[in-house]
Amino acid sequence: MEKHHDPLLKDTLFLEKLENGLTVAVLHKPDYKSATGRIATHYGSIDADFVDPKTGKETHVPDGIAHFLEHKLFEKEWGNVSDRFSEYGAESNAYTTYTHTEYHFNTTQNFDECFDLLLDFVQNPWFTDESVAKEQGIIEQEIRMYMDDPGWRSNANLLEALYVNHPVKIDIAGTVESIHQITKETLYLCHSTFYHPSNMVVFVAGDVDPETVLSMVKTSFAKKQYAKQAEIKRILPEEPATVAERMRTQKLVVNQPLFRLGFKDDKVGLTGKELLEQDLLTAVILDAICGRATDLYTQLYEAGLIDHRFGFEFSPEESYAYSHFAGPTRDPKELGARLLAGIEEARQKGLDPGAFDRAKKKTMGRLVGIMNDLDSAAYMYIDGFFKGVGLFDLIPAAQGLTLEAANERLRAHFDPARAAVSIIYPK
Amino acid sequence: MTESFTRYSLAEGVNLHIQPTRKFKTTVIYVYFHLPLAPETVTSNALLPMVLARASADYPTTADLSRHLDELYGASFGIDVSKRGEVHSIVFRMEVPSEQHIPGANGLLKNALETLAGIITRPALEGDGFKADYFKQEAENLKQTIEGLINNKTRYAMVRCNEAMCKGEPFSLYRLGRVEDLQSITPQSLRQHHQHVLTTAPVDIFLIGDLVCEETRDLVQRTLVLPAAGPEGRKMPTTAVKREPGRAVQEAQDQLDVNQGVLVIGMRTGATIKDDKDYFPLLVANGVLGGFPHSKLFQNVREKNSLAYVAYSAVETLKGIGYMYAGIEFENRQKCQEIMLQQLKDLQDGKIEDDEFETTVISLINDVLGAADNPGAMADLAVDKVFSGREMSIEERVAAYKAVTKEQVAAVARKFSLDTVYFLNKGGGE
Repeated sequence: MEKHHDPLLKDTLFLEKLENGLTVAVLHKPDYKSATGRIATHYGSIDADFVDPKTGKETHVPDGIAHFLEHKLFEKEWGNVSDRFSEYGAESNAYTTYTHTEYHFNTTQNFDECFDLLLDFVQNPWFTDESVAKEQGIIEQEIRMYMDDPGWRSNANLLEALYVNHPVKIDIAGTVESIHQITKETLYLCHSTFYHPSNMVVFVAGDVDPETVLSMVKTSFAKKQYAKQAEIKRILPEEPATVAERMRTQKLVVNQPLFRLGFKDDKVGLTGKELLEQDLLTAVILDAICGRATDLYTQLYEAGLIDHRFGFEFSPEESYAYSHFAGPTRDPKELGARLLAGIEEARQKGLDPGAFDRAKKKTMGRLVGIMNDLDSAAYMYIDGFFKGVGLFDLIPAAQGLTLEAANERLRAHFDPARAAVSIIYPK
Repeated sequence: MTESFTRYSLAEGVNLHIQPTRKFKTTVIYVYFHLPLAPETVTSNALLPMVLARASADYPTTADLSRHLDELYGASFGIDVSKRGEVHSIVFRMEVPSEQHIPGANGLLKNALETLAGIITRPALEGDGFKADYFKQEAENLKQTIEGLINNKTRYAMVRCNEAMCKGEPFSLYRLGRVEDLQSITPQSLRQHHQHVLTTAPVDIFLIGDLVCEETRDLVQRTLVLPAAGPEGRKMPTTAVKREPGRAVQEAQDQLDVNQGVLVIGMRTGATIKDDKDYFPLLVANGVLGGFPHSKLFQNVREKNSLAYVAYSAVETLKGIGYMYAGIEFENRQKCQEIMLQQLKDLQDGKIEDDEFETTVISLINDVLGAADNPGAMADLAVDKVFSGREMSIEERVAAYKAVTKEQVAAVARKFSLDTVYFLNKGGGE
C-alpha cells in the first residue's frame, strides 16, 4: 500500500486503489484499544435521478430511498446484522447524508470477524415485500421524531427557502408518503447501481496491520462478480443563483423563536483542493465575522439577542453550498437585521487582520484535535474522499489561507441578495 | 492495558488525577466541584459557571477571554453541571493542543491552566458581586435554557417522568435549576455562593495528555490554587436511595401539540452502584432489557412490531432508578406499554436467551475497553470510581462483567419495581 506520513500530526495513512475501482484507506493508530471499520458509497438523498448505467435509461426513484436502503441492508435472511456485530462485542451503525451513505463498526474485540461482516453485508442485499413494509413503519416514526425537532426543521426550512430546484431541499429520509412508494425492486436497482466498488471507499482506523486489511478487502470483493461500471451519471436540475424565497416560518412547541440566516453559494461545482480551500476559508471568515472573540458577537450577546447556543457553519458540497447562522432569540427580526448589518459592514471594511489570524490559529488547533477521535477522523476522511480531499491536505490548506483571499470571498459569498431566513415561532 | 490515573491528594478533599498518554494530540483538563443537589442551591450551582465563564480578573471582558483562548490555538473551554444521583457537580473543561503538533507553540498547557484557574478562582467583579451586566445576561440565558427544555421532546419527557417519580426528593430537580429561583439570586449572593463552593466542595481535577506526572502535579499546584477548606471540610454529598416495592404505579401525562408521542416508564431498581454484589448484574440487566440494539426493547418494540424508531432503557446507578423509553404513534401507547412491561417481566422471570446474555456482556466489555480511547470517557469512569468508592482497573471491570450469571441478572431485575408511567400526548395546542 502507498504510505503517507504526516510529520506534524505524527499519523500514518496507507492507501490503495483496487482494480475494481474501490479505494482502501488505513489510518494506523498504535496504542488505540478500539478500531473502526467503515465502508461508504457516494450515494445520498440527492441522487434520486440518475442514468441507469446498465440500460442507459433515465431513472427516478422515490425520495428517501438511499436512507431506506441503509436501514434495510442490516436485515438478512439469517437475521439482523447489528445483532451479529453485538455478538462480536462491537457496536455498529450507519448514516445517510445528502451525498453519501456510510456503514461502520467500532470494536475492541474480534476485529477480523467484524470487518468481514461489514464488507459482506453491504455487498449482499436481501429485501422482501414483508421486510420493506415493516421498515416503512419504523422510518415513519423516525420522520415524525424529526418533525418535532426544531433545529432540524429550522435547517430544512432554510434549505427550502434557499433552493428552487436542487433536491437538497428535500429531507434526507423523504416523506411519509414517498417512503410508502418504495419497493424491493427499486431497492435492488439502487443497490446494484450505487454499491459498485468503483463508487465506494473502505476506511479502517486502529492498531491494525494495513496489508492484512487490504487482503481481507480483496478476498471479500472477489467473492462477487462486478462488471466494469462507468461513472454514474447523476441528473440534477438547473439551479438559479437566486433564492426561492426570502423567508420561511413555522410554528412548533418551543419556548422562544429559533432564528436561522443562510447565504446560498453561487460558486459551486468545485472539488478537491479548490473545494477544500473554499471550505476552510469560509469557516475562518465566519469565525472572524461573528465568533465569540468578535465585536459583533459581543454586541448581539449583550443585547440579549443571542446566547451560548448561537452558532454558524458553512456546508459545502460539489453541487450546492450554503453558510448559515442560527440560534434561539427573543427577537428574530432584530437579530436578522443586526446580523445582516454586521456582515455588510465586514464586507465593506474587510476583515480585521488580527481576527483573521486568530481564527486561522484556532482552525489549526481544532484540525489537530480531530485526529484524537477515530470517529471524527473517519468522518473527515470519508466526507473528504467523495469531495476529492485527502486527510492530510487539511492542515497545509489551513496554513495557506490569506487575508486577501478571505476578503474577496467575504464580498462574493455573503451577498444579501442570496440570503434567506428561516424562523421557528412558538405555537 | 496500562491506562490508569495516577492520583495525588493536593489537600483534604482535593484530588488530582493524571493520565499520561501520547496517543492524544491534545491535553484535556476537567475540574469537578461536587455539591449536594438541593432545592436551595440547584439554580445557583447552574448559574455560577455560566457567569464565571464570561470573564476573569485577568481577562475582564468576554471578548478578551475569547481572544486569548483563540490565541492558544483554539483552546476549547466549556462548562457544565452534571447530576449523578443527588450529587450536583460543576464541571470546567479545557482542551489545548499538545505542543509537539503545533510548530512554534510554547507554554500552551501552562497558559491554559493559568487561564482556567483565573476563571475558577479570580472572577471579574464589581464591588462584592459579579459584574452586574454579565450576571443579568446569564440569569436570562439560564431562564431561557431551562424553559428551552421543551424544545427537545426526548429530554423533556425524561425530565418530566423523573419529576413525577421523585416528587419531594432532591433527585426530582432538573440539573439546570428552577426559573422561579432566579429572582432571588443577586450578583452578591452568587459571589458568596462562589466562595462557598470553593471552600466546601470536594474537588477532582483530571488531566489527560502527553504529560509527566510529577511535573504536571507541580504545575497544577502552582497554578490552580484553591482557598483553604472551611471548618466543615470538603464532604462528598450523599444520595438517598428510596425502596418502596409494592407501591401503586402512578400515571403522569403532558399534552403538547406534537407529531409523536413519547412513553417513559420509570422504575426503582432496588440496587445501586454501592451494592458490590448487585452492581455489575444491574448493568447487565439493563443491557439485556434495553441498552443495545440486540436488547429486548429494541427487538420487540422496534424490530418485531415496528412501533418506534427509538426504544431503549437506561439506569441511574447512584440513585437506583431506571427508565424504559420509546417514541411512538399516540394510538399505540397501550400496545407499546404492554410490550415493554412484558420485556421487563421476561427478564425478571429469567427468560434470557444465551445469545442475548452473552452479547450483552461482550458489548459492555467493549464499552469499558473503548473508554481508554476517549479522554471524556476516561474521566467519566474515574468519576464513577470517586462516587462508588470502588477502585477498579479496566481488567478488574472486565473480569467483573465476565463473572455475572443469568441467575444474578434475573435476581437483580426482580428488585426493579415500577414507579411512574409517563406519556407525552398530543393536544393542548389547539
